[in-house]
Amino acid sequence: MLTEIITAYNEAVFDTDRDRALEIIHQAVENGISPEDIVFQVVIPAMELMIKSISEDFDANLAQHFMASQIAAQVTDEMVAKFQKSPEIIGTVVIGTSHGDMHTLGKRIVSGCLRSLMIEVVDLGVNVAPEKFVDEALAHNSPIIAISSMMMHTARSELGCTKVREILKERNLEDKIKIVVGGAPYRWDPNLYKTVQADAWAEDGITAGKVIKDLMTGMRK
Amino acid sequence: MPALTLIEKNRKMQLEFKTGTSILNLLCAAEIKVSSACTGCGFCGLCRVKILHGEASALTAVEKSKLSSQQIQQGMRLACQAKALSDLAISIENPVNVLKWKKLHSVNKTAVNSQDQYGIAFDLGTTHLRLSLWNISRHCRVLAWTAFNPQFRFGADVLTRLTAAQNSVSDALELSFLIKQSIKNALQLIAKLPLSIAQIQQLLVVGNTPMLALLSHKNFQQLLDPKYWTQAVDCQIDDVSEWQTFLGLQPQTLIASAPPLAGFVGSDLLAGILATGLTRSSDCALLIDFGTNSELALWDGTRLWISSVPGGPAFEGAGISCGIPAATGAIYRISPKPDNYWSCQVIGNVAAVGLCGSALVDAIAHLLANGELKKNGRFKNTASNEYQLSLTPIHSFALKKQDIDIFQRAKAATGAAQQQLFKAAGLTADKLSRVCVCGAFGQFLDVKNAQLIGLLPQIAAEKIELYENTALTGCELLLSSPQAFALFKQIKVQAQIVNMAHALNFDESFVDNLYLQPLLLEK
Repeated sequence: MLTEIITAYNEAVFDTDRDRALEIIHQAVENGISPEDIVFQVVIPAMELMIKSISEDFDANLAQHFMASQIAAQVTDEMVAKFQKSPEIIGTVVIGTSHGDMHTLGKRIVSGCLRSLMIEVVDLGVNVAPEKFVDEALAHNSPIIAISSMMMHTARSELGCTKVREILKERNLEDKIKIVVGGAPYRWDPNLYKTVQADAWAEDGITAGKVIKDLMTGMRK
Repeated sequence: MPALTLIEKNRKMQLEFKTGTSILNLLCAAEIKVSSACTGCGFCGLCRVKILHGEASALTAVEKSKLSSQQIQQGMRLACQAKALSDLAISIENPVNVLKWKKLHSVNKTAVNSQDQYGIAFDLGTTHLRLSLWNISRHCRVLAWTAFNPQFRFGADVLTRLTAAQNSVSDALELSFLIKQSIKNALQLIAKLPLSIAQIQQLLVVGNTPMLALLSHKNFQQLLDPKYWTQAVDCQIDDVSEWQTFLGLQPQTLIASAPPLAGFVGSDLLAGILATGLTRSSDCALLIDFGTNSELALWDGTRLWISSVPGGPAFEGAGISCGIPAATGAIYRISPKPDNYWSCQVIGNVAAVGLCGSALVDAIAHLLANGELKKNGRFKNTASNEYQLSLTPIHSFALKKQDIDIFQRAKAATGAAQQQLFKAAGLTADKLSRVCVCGAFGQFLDVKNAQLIGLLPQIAAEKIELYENTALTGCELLLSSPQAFALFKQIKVQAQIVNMAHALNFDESFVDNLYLQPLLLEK
């Protein structure tokens, strides 16, 4: 039965038909599929599939990406609330948009993906000061600072990622906290993350989840 | 050394070069202006050149995504991506005639004499400049001109220009100078009319706040900081006497900018509100100025709810593979014929070069209506990434998947902004008695098609008014009447700024509006 649900849900996501997608999920829950299976067997693989299908021409499919992510976030939120026991958290990430950047959408998509991958997310909001990124990471014992920038000038800003790096250096925190960046400018220039001295970048929510998981595991070794 | 030959309508030009630099860099070094809106990262797709003969570097991945298969076949390349490898001949698809002012209409001879007082109204837009000679004594226009904003080569949107100004002192000076030089050129045209420059009493500029700040060479850094977006920013022109000398105006000529309301509410919008009489009755009225940044004002009878939302340059035709700005050669209306070909109307009645924003709206609405396009923006034929809009068996324009996507995002931003404004004012669409649509994009819109895909509220078509130059008209009103100035000040008092960045659920509303469907406006 799960296979049929997966096929039907994938089709609905591909068509970005939110009503149909929710209907399929609700029907599945009624038929006894566990909320855990829905998130891990249906929603996340569908998101991965969608991202794979559009990654060749990402900029041509941003609208689809936003619409599909909204569906995934909605289903995940609904299902996580129904989980039998609170899921095991891999770790915590603090996330925000860089100084001067008011674009919340990319950050929201990434947060949704991370949560569905059982990474706890502390959302610092938009236009976040570099000091705040570091202070909050310490306060929440988070090994990862995730910075979203949707414009070239906020990605490269002196008060953006570069400054966060400077503070980590000053406070001797570079072993404890890593920086991951994302957003449109990093796709235009895949080497930009090095220029702004981030540890890694990710081009979409699912990749961000993998990159962050890898970084966390690497740091524990 | 090998040479790059540039072939234009009336001239041929040779540039020698060393291999290894992009064609765009070669052209820029020779001060040949090419449309480009992304500072050469291949993102905007505007710097198309046609290789006539010779060898260039292989197509890059970016070019494959930005150019249609037909364009590639024709030898089209992006100048920022392609490098010349040997002697090469090219033509530029979208040349920029930066300092060329075009008359908007013929001269009103009855308004020209040697006694009357005159003023110059100047609408400093991100994409277009508009300037008129206004007879203050008789309250009428003598002549108006339009030109492309020469700052275009620093980027299509205000943020890239502000960043350029912040990062380089010489760029900041250049950005200001380009506009001053444009005004000077227009004054030379005015000098040919039978009146004396001494009769010009005033030069008044309206524009969005970043443009005014770049012009006055002041406080443009503030505009990159979100905290100034809803605050007043001083962009008054300080060095008036220097301007008078440079422009050849008299020492008593006033030179000023109409002050904007805040970082993202420019005096162009305020002038537009004045020109359309948006606030003149107690009837609810909405003004939308579609652009790279779309501005919105909703009048509820007592208060004015104002916002601005960035949607990208899609409405101006930038970033769209078959897109061009609304100027000569642009298809501004397009519709399918029973024989599967498309009929179109072209600005200036010349051969079609590309589609401007309003034709894009038509094409999307028709494809949606006949089922070729789904409301999520995918083509019915999922294997296909483009749709050929064929005018004749040999002349067609490809509408690419990504063109639709870019357009969807611009539309979603303005749709979500309308929903947020109505929510803030506690209004519904049925209360509206007027919708005033302004801007180069708005003036050619097919209202029904625009409503079908969710650009404009679903109200009776006769309540929707299309305007061309509201900012310039408002600026002229300010030149000639003290009442207009009083009303201008009053509008500033009545305004309530709604910052979309802080609007609750803006993101969700944005995603909802990505779908190509009629706009829902509820409380």
